[in-house]
Amino acid sequence: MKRNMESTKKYLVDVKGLKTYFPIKRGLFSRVVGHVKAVDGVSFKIQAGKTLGLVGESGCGKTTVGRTILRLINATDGKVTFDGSDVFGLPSKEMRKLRCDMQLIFQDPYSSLNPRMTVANIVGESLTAHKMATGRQRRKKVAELLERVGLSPHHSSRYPHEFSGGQRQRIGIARALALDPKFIVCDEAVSALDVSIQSQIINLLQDLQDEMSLTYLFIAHDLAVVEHISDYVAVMYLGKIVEYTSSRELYKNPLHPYTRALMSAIPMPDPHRRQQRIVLGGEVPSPSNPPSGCPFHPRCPMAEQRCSVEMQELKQQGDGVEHIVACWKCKEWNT
Amino acid sequence: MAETILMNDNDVLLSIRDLSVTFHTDEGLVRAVNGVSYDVCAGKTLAVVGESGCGKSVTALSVLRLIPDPPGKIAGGEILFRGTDLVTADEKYMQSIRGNEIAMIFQEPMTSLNPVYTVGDQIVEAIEQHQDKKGPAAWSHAVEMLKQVGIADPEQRVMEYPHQMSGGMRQRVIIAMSLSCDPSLIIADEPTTALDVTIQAQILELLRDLQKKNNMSVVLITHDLGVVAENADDVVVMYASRIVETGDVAGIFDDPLHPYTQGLLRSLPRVGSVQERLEVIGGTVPDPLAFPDGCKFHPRCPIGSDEPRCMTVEPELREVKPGRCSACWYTPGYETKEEFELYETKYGKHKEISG
Amino acid sequence: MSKTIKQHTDWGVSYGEMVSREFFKNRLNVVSLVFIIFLFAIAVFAPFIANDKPLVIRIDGELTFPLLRNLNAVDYSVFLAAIVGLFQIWLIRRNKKRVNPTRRGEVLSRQIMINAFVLVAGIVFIFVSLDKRLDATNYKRMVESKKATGAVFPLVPFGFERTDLAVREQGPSAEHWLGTDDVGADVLCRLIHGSRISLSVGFVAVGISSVIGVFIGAILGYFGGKVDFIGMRFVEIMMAIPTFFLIITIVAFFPRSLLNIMIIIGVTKWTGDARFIRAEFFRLRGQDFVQAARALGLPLRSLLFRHMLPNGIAPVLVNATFGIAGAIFIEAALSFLGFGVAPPTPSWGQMLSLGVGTTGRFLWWLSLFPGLAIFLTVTAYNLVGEGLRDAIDPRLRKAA
Repeated sequence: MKRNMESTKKYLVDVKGLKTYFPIKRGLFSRVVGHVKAVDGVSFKIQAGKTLGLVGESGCGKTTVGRTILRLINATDGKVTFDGSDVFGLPSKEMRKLRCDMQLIFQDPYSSLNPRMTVANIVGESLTAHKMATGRQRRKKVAELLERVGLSPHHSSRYPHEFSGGQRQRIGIARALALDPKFIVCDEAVSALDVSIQSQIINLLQDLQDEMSLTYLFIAHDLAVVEHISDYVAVMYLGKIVEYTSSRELYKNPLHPYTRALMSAIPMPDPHRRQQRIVLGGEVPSPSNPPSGCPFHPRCPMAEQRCSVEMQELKQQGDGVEHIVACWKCKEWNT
Repeated sequence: MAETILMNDNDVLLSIRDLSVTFHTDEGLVRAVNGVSYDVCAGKTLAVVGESGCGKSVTALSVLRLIPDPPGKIAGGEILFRGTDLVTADEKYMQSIRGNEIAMIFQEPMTSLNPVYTVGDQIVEAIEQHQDKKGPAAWSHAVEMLKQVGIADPEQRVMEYPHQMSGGMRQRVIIAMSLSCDPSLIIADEPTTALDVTIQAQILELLRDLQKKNNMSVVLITHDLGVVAENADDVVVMYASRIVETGDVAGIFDDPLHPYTQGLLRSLPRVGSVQERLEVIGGTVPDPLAFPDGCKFHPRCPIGSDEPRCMTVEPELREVKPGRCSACWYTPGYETKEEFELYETKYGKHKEISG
Repeated sequence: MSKTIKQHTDWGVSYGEMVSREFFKNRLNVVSLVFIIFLFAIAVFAPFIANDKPLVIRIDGELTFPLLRNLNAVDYSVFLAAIVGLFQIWLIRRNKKRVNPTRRGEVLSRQIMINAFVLVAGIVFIFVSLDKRLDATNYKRMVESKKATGAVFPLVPFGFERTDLAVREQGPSAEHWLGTDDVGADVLCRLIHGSRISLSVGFVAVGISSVIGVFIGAILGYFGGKVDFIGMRFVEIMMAIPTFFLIITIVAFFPRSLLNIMIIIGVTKWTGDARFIRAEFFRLRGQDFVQAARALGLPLRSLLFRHMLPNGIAPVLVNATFGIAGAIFIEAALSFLGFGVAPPTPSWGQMLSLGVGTTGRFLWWLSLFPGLAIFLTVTAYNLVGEGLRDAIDPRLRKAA
């Protein structure tokens, strides 16, 4: 959120060197012949009450990052500290308790709700499971949640198939809010919605953040949406973060050639600005066999010999706002 | 019904007139397309914009008569392609049109290719169907087509199966296939929705280049206003199975007339803008089984939600200034003098509209 | 009244209701279902339809009810089961109108638990408290010899155990509508009592196989990995064995009882269900709503039984309907070969085998009528299965 809050600099989520590899198995006895390096050494921190946007194209590992932090997928390496506790080190009983504090909102409003359950059960099931409310108390809480996300409590005895995509997304949000979480991973939460509904949901997410002082990890491929909702943005390419800075700085001064290409590829709703864009050649390489050196070098217009051998580490650029980039050439580009 | 919609003097290649399409479902009759008219001019790109379920795809599918029947049915109107009405044309004629004169590109590059044949087989099949080329001639034509759509190493790629290719590559193959018979019109139904932005930029650029080179017309169906702004010459905005506004692309974006178009443009998050909150069109897209009375947009409309006329009388699409049509009582210049007076005697003074 | 109606408009239409609407749209489905219900009615009321004991008889001026007196523990258990079953169906219909969909699952499982308890306890009580009575009195002869008067016999006045060598191997006649068998028992009577065997074999065997199949499939599908690898090899081994010959071999070793046959069919026929459930669970495991349930910290029990099973059970239900038809068929085949239930207990397959009489004469009525009964029952079940599958399929594509 681009609002002036007193930045207490308290980090709610701290991700260090996160790696998630999926083994590739072949043959009769499922021998491991290689790994898909979906997430390959990702580190970031999110301040309490702020939003970090995570952008990248499909297959760059952004969804895997979100699910690994929530321990829905097992990490290969790295450490995630949430509110002082080590997420991967917790025994399963305490992990269940921690799950109350971190939630997930999904992309597809159709597959993310159990079609056999009524709205009241979808939203309220976790309250029962964590013994937070039962009976009348639960009904009251569910009604409150539904009203808060802009639905009527009359809807609580209906099934998901009786709602439109936008309404379903609201139900998904109500479910995530039921346990009063501190942190929500929004995994492409508005990508599947119609344009006029998308803005409704974005506003709702922002209002909820203000009211409940939530912290978001907002994962999306749409740079315009991410830029609108986030305080900070991390750009991912092939399992690695290539650029990280505040969202305004990213728009004003994108430094990594991939970020620049991504920005210029966004179609602008303005017919007078049919810009000369940097159209990237080629496609995203397979994460099972990433290129050597900088993963972006085969598509990069600036690449030179060094880029194919070694990748630059994430480095602070300039001395103003926090702006870290992993590129050898970004300084030259700038001048 | 309104007669001419787009005031272009160029040759009109495809002209849809007052088209209505209905679907019989278990829950009742759905009017998916209701009195839609638009013209596509030779060599131009017409974008049809709208949200899911507004009837934009159904309109396009009915041009090729690809509506599943039953439950779908073209209930009325005509589709004139080079002067021939495709609604009443026989199936044999349609076969000669499909893929030959008019080609279609679908949204999902994963499912619009048959997984059990190589891409070469599929392109060659289209070529042999419509052209005199057979065997090796058709194959070399297929390779040529793949080269044209920017596929590296086409001699090799032509032997590959769809699953060996990435999404962007497959969409290129589909474009190659649809271009193989040199069509004069391409209907692209959300051609880049399933693709990443950088790939989308590649594909749209390719389409623009090929269109210029072959002097084709394109009907671009999309929900993405950015794609419209960068690619279209003319724009048709649809809402709830009807057209609410038409015009040239600059006009639509600079001076949207219909409250729906205005709301849509305002609700977009834009890169680099500093707005705190997005403006919102309230409510949800209406259920096609229970469209509201009067103007179908009135329950979500900032003007019409409490206007007695908007709630009861549906405004037709009218030309309000040269080249611009709108279907809203409150578009300046929409009402005739008689209607203006009739309204004032019936309901009292008109509402003041700011902005 | 108006208040309740207003409330109900807020209630959603559940998946079950949508499927049943779809199912009842097809007339053939309804006909098949009615036929199966008719069969059930016959099976339940068999002692009242075909019995050599009169309903009412006056012996020495005293009014007695020999038929009722002669009902055994099995009969009473069947009546109890029928009553509990009907009550449960009535409850389900009532729930649809009275119970909020949100609480319906809870209420239903409580009802089923209570009813199942009542049923089991009732059956135990019946078997413990009821003495075996053997009433060998020949009431017909008493009527003929004018010892008794005012006798009201059931529609088919023969007992299935009663033999009469004087009328053996006779074709259909006014007295024996469908003829008699090799020991002079009435074919119609045995056909009616045989329906109990066929229907119960179908239900119990499929019940056993479904429970085993769902359980194993769920474990393989949810845990995957090594568990799945080893488990699937076991399933494949089970599938490679020709079931029918396995059953014949096992039946040859164990006493020829109906229960044994049910159990044997049940423990050999679960592989299909296991594979269905495993595949469904694999699919469901990756679905967002299951991931959401995990993220909410819900316990494994809830994940498996509230989120995954209800969404994956549809193919098992369809398969169960076909399975009932299959089990009826296997039982008939076993009995035909002489491995089934031992006479005098009637079974359709066993009757079929009597078609070639003791003298080598072909007794067509002994082949035709039991054969027809098997054919119609199996067909009805298969049609219901097809109908169920069609009713579920389009919804599956849309909803899940």
